[in-house]
Amino acid sequence: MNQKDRDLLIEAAVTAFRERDAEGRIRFSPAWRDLPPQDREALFEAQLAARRVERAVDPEGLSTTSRAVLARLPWLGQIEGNDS
Amino acid sequence: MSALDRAFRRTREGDHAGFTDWVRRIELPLRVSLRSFAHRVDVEAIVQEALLRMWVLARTLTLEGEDASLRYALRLARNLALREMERGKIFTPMNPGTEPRSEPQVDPEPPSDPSLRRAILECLERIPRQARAALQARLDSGGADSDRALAARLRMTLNTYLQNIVRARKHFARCLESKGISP
Repeated sequence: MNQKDRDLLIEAAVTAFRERDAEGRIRFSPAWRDLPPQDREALFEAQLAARRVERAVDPEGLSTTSRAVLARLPWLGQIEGNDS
Repeated sequence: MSALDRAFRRTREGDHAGFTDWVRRIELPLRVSLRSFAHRVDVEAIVQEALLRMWVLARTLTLEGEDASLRYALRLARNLALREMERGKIFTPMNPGTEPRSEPQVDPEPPSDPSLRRAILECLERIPRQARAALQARLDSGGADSDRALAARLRMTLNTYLQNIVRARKHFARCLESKGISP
């Protein structure tokens, strides 16, 4: 894999977007799976840096990870409601 | 009682604003605690799953001691990571130097730095237009949309969209370095 492809693959996994399975469980990023182990460590650092920027520019100081989690709460509420 | 404990107490009462405050404080230490798992599991997925589970479990938990919710969340995330490794049959031996200890020592996130925020905003403004639009779309989406969807919204191919974000991050990093800030 050349440097450009590597950078694109890392960037594709930096996003906080993660698909979910039918039961709502979060799936691993396909880009993460395609990365060789040494590049997954570079991804970890890239995510740390990206989240720092996101927290700095967000009016409530939240990263996109936090936003993605908080956006799931209404869905969780429905599940809990259905269970009770 | 620490600010983290106050936020968790509100979380236990089902208060969304309390949970928001708790998540804001805990996300970074939680992520950092998973560093040694980074090449075996998708840390982003584990962090999100752990935070969601803390919301679901909060009402049932009786935790004692300062920042006990942080310690509980770290253990929960670590166990999720180990379970995923087992599920994926990832039995790569760990490097002894990076073997996670049973109780990682991580402090709750320090308060934000206004001068850093100013520098980051200035550097984002200096990114070339197309590249900035791609990065801004990610920021605005808050993790709710796939890159494919964001690229389509910007009338870019997925590859062009990702190239623009890579370019944006390089410009951004150079700008921060010029201000003496480590990107």
